[in-house]
This record gives sequence, structure tokens and C-alpha cells, in this order.
Amino acid sequence: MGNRILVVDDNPINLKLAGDLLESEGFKVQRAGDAEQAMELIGRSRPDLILMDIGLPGMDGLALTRKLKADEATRGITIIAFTSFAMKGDEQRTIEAGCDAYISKPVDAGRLVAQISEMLRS
Amino acid sequence: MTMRNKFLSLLHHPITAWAILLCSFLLTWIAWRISNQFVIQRASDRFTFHTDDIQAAISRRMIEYEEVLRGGVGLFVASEKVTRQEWHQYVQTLQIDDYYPGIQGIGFSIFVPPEGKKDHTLKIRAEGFPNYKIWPEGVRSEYHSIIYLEPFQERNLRAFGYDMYSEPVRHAAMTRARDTGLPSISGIVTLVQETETDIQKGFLMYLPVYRNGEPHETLEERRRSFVGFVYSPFRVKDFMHGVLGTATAGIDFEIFDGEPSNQETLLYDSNETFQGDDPHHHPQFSRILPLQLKGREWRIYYHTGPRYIAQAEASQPLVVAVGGVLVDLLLFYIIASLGKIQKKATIMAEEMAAAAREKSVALENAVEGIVSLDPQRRYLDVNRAYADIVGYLQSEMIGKKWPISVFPEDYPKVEAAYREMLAKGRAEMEVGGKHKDGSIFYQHAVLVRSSDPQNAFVGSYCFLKDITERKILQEQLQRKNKELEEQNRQVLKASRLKSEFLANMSHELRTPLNGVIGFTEFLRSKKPGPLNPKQEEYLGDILSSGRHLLRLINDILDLAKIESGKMEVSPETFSCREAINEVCAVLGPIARKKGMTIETKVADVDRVILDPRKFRQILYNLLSNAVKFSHEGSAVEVSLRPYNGNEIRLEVKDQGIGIKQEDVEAIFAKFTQIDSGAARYYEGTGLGLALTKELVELQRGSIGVDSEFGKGSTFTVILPANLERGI
Repeated sequence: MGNRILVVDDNPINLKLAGDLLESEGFKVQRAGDAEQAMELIGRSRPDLILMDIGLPGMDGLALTRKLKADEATRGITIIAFTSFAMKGDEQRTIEAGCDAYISKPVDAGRLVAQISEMLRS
Repeated sequence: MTMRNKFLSLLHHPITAWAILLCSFLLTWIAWRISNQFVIQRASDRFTFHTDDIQAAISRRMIEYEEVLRGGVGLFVASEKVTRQEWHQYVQTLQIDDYYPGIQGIGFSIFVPPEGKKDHTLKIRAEGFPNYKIWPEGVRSEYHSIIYLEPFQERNLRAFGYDMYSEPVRHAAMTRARDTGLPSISGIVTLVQETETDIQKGFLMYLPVYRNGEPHETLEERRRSFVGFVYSPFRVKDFMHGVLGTATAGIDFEIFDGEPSNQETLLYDSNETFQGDDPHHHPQFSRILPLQLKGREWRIYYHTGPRYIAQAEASQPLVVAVGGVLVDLLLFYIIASLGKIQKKATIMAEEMAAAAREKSVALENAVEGIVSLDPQRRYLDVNRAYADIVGYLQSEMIGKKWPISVFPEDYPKVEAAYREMLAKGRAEMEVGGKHKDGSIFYQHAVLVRSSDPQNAFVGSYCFLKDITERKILQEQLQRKNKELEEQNRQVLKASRLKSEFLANMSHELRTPLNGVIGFTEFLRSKKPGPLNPKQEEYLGDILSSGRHLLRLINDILDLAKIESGKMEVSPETFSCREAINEVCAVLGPIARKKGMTIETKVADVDRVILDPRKFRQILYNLLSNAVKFSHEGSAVEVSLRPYNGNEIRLEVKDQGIGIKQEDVEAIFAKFTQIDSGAARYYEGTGLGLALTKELVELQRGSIGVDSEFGKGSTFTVILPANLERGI
């Protein structure tokens, strides 16, 4: 436990839900409302995992993912795409962009926590 | 009417043939007559010629014989005395057998007065003829005895010593000769030389011999100085034979001594059948000619034999007649035929003219436009309908180039159609044209090639139909169609936009719902803090409503994806048995809550090539419906088996409320739940079956239901199970 998770979501409620849920499970959670904020936080302290919303204002989640995966320093961070884009091909696009996993919203809280824990263990 | 036509019509008149036949018969008859006359004339001429010839031959021969006798007289005149021997030599010299046929002999008869008869007899007996005597016996005033008759043999021996003067016929001739000093011919006698056989009539010629040196100018002197006669006996048949030979050229003749009356005077009959008494004797030609002889007149009756005119010659007029009649009949036949042919031709021409009139009436009044064109594509004939369509007068069009009024841009069509007509015999075209009054019209034209019996191109027909109204309707229809297509495009576009909108909306809707469901679950987990029972119950209600809303949004999203064409099928090989177990595992708890059992039967099939996600979704929808619409404690059966080789058949059977027959169609429609009451009781989106149907059909499968209201339903899905990737 004590792993650092960065939750990126432009929707403050969803950001809060995911953050509070994970904090209640004992994770150290940082919250970012957009890509810029996320990059700043990553620059300050490297998270172990990023729960990345795709539909962000400005730079979207996919672009941010590509950017992070292109950077040597941030390449090792596990990125889970967490999006309500449930259209066919969405998952494919996120994987291509460099995401390590894909979870569509809304998600069962228990399942989200279980998946994150598993990702961190591996 | 020209002269020639007048002549021809006259020639073709039926009376003409008969008239010509009559005329030609007349001509033939005349020709026959002329020919006949010619033949007769020629025969007559020939007859005259031949008879003259015979006549001349007899005269000539008489003169010749007379000359022979004159020679004998000359012998006496030149000598003191003519001995038997000398006479013999003289006659022998003449060679009468060769040169003078018909002459029986040449003799000398000496005058013996009664007082010198005895001496005379003795003298001749002394010459070596002891039996010599003058005969016949009897006492006469004067005697004449044949003492020489050469050739002195055979028949002539019988005349030796004969006194010709004792016989009246001879007597007359002898007296005449002695008294006139001229040659004299006797009448008809029977010569003493005649034997029992072949008795011929005969005659004799006498020449007087007077004593040398004595005058014999007067009758007295001649009687006084008379010595005897040099004479010749003639057997008349032999004589005539010598004269004529055998060639009498079909002419018979009878020689009469004197009047030609009877057998008495008949001297000679060339065919020995004297017909003078025969009343049926009517020779074709005959003539009687007198022949003046010394002291006598012969009459010769010439007549033709039965076939004087030779067969060939006689048949000449017949040939003319028969040939002429044949030619006449032929001519008649030809002219009559000409007339008949002319009549037939006239009838045919009239019939054709009538047919043509009918045809032209039909053409003129036809509803369609009809024209005939010459090989140069010029109007030959135009009917009223055609003229009405194009607006020109019929007379204006004749001779003009076809077509008279066509849009310039349609000329290529016209040329193509004309070429096709030439090649194939028929062509059609639809072209527009300008009416003479300036209005536009459309015509449907059929071109038909016209050929003569040798299949040579002689022109064409063009059948025209005014299709302006149809064309206008067609154009309106086309415009309408275009508009409809455009509308359809708009509708499709709108539909797509709606689907895109729905897809976006569902995403936007899910985001807040994520918060609702997420926080509700978070609170219910009691991690944020403890809850009293009421709070926990209400959180459960919120969660249930949120999940329902989420499912609704998911279904809408799926339908929108399918409708907007964004739903893709990704077939892969998977185990359908496992898939069924998974779905049953998800729905198992709900079923158990209702005391229901789910039974699965999978036979002879496991791995299939299908989109596994959609397979699960289909089964999930059907099975959740079955559980939802079943009474508590009932059973649901899921079965899967191969079907028709390539397909799988999935059945979900329940013992639920069932569906009325009339509602079967409706259940697959969107947003439909059959029973409003049931809808209230059974929570659902009303999209489940519609979506299921779309998913099945997206994979080219089919779905159906067999249901009995109140007893249960069986949903059957048939899917192609080995679709290839990418389809």
C-alpha cells in the first residue's frame, strides 16, 4: 500500500469520486483536472500509476499518454485509461496510444480497486 | 392514248383474235386455191407438152418410115430391074431392127394383070419357090403379089404371094397410092403375118412404083405405068413402142383411125384398157388431136392416168392448207392468250390498285404517324397523323430530307438509329423535335427497312408516335425522383446525425451517472462512514435506478452505433459452451432469487467463429428476458446445436407469461413492452429485443419466437457460425 496514484479527470465529481475511493483504499492520491496540471504533478513527484480520463480539455488523455510514454523519465508509469467512451475502437486507440489497461466508466468500485491493485503488483 | 396503246388495246380485244382467225383462214383458203390451181396449171402444161411431144414423135416416125420406103422406090427407079438379092441387100443395109423399130418389114408387091398371072407364077417358082402362088385363090380383074418382103423370114414368109389388093382396106390405100403417086396409109388391118398369139392391129404404108421412063403425071399415065408398091406393114403396138419407148409420163392415149368412137376404129391403146365406154372415166386432163397422115387422118385421144399429178405435188396444196391452218390456230392462240393475259393483268392491276387504295386509306387515317422514305432518306409519302405530329403540311414534306424536325442535339441518335435499321432491318429511337408552330414535342420512332424480293434496300418506313405527354410525365417523375433521392439523402444524413448525437449524448450522460453510481456504491461500502438501515435502503434504491438508467443508456448507445453503421463485427474462434456458462453465471443469482433454474443443453458444438461479445450480449438479453418474464419457481432452458451445416441454432425456452400472437411483430420494435402493466411490473428498457434483433441481423442471422400466451415462449436465433474474418 501507499502507492501513489495520479487521477486525471476534467469532471470534478468523477475526480473526487475516484480520488476519495482510492484514498479510502489506502492509496496516496493526487488529482489533476487537465493535462497541464497532471504534467506539473508528475514533474513534482512521479506517481506509480495514472488513472487517465481521455476526454480532457486542451491536450486530451491520449496525447498526454503518448507524451509520457515517449519520455524516458515517465515511461515506466502504469497508465490505465478510464473513460466513458465506450465506442468500439476506443480501447484499441488507448492501447495504441500507450495505455497499459482500459477501464470504461462507470465501473464497479470494487472492480476498479481490484484491477488497480493487480496492475501495481505486476 | 398513243397510237401504240391503241394498237395494243385493239390487239388485246377478244373479238380481235376471232377476226384474225377468220382472216387468216380466208388467206389460207386462198393460198390453198392458188396452190391448187398452180399445181393443176403446171400439170396441164406438162400434159400439153407431153401430148404435143407424143404427137410430134408419131409424125416424125411416119416421115422417117416414108423415107425408108422412098429409098426402096428409089432403088426401083434407079435400076432396070431389082432382083430379090438386091432388095435383100437394100433392106439389110437399113438395119431396120436397130434404126427403125416397129417396122415389120419392107416389101415389094408387084402388079400382075390377069393375063400375066400364069407366067408370073412360073417365073417366081423358077426362082426357087416351087410352092409359090398368088393367094387368095380366085379370079379378079387384077392381081398384086408380094414377091419381096425383107427380112424374108418367120412371120414375113407367110405374106409371100399375098394379094393385098383382094382385101378392101388395103385395096383402098393401094388404089389411092397408085392413083395419086403419093404415099398412102391404110386403115386398120390384121396383118397376114399374125399368128395365133399376140394378135395386133396393124396398118400398111404404100408407095407406088411406076415404070422407068414413062410419064405418070396424070391418073391415066399413072395407071398405065404402074408397076407395084413398095410397102411396109406395121404391127401397131410394135410401131408405137418404137416411137415412144416406154416413157409416156403418166399419159394414156388411144389412136383412132377416123372418129374416136369404138373398138372398131381403135387402132392403138397405150395401156390396152380402152375407157371410151366407161361412164366413170373422167380423166383430169384429156384432149383429142388429129394426126394428118398420108391419105388418112388419125385422131388421138390423150388422157391422164389415175395418178397423173404425183403424190408429192398433189399434196402441195394440202401442205399449204394444213400448214396455214396450223399457223392460223397458233396465231389465234397467241392473240387469244395475249388477250387473256392482258385481261388477267388488268384484273390484277385493278386488284392491286384497290389494295393500294385501301392501304393508302389505312395509312392516311392511321393513328400513328407513318411515312415512307426513299433510299436517299427523302419523304415519299406522309400520312395525316405524321403531319399533325410535326406540324408541317403533307405536301411540304414530300421530297424533303427525313427527319424534318429534330433537335440538333438528337441528330446523333437519328443517325445511329438509321444505321441500325440499315444493318438489322429495324430500329427505334426517342427524339425531341420542334413543331412548326414552335412548340416542343417528343416522338418515338420505329424505322423499318423495306426490301425488294432480292433483299436489296429500296427505302424505309418510319412509324411515329407522339410521346410528348409521356415524356413530360417521365421528366416530372424523374424530377420527383431526384427530389425524393435528395430528401432521402437528407433523411439519412439526419438519421446519422441523430445516431452520432445519441452516441455523444450517451457518453455525456454516462459521465454524471458515473458519479451517481460510484458515490452511491462508495457510500454503501460504508468506507466513508456508518449508515443507518434507512439510509442503506435508500442508497440501494439510488443504485438500482442509476443502474437502470445506465443500461438504458448502453442500449441506446448500441442501437445508435448499429444504426450509424459504427457497430463492427469482430468474429473470432471461441468456445460457445464457455460463453453460455459465463452468461448463465451472471444471471444465475437473479434466477435463484426467484427460485428459478437455468438448464443448458449444448450438443455437438463447441468452437465457433463468431463475434463472442455480441454472442454473449444476444444470449444475455434473451436469457435475462426469460428470467424476467417468468413466474417464480419456473424453469428456463438454453440449448445450442448445429444447424444446416454452417449455422448454429440457439434456443431460449421459458415458462413465462408468453406473447399474444398479434403482438409477436411488435416485440422486436424499439421502446416496446407489450403489456403496460407488465412494463410497470417488469423493469426493462424496452430496447432489449430490438437491439438483439439488430445484433443478430448484423451477423446475418435470424431471430424468431414461438410463443403461447400464458404458457411460455421460445426464442430461436440462427447464426452463421463460421464467418470469415473481416466480414
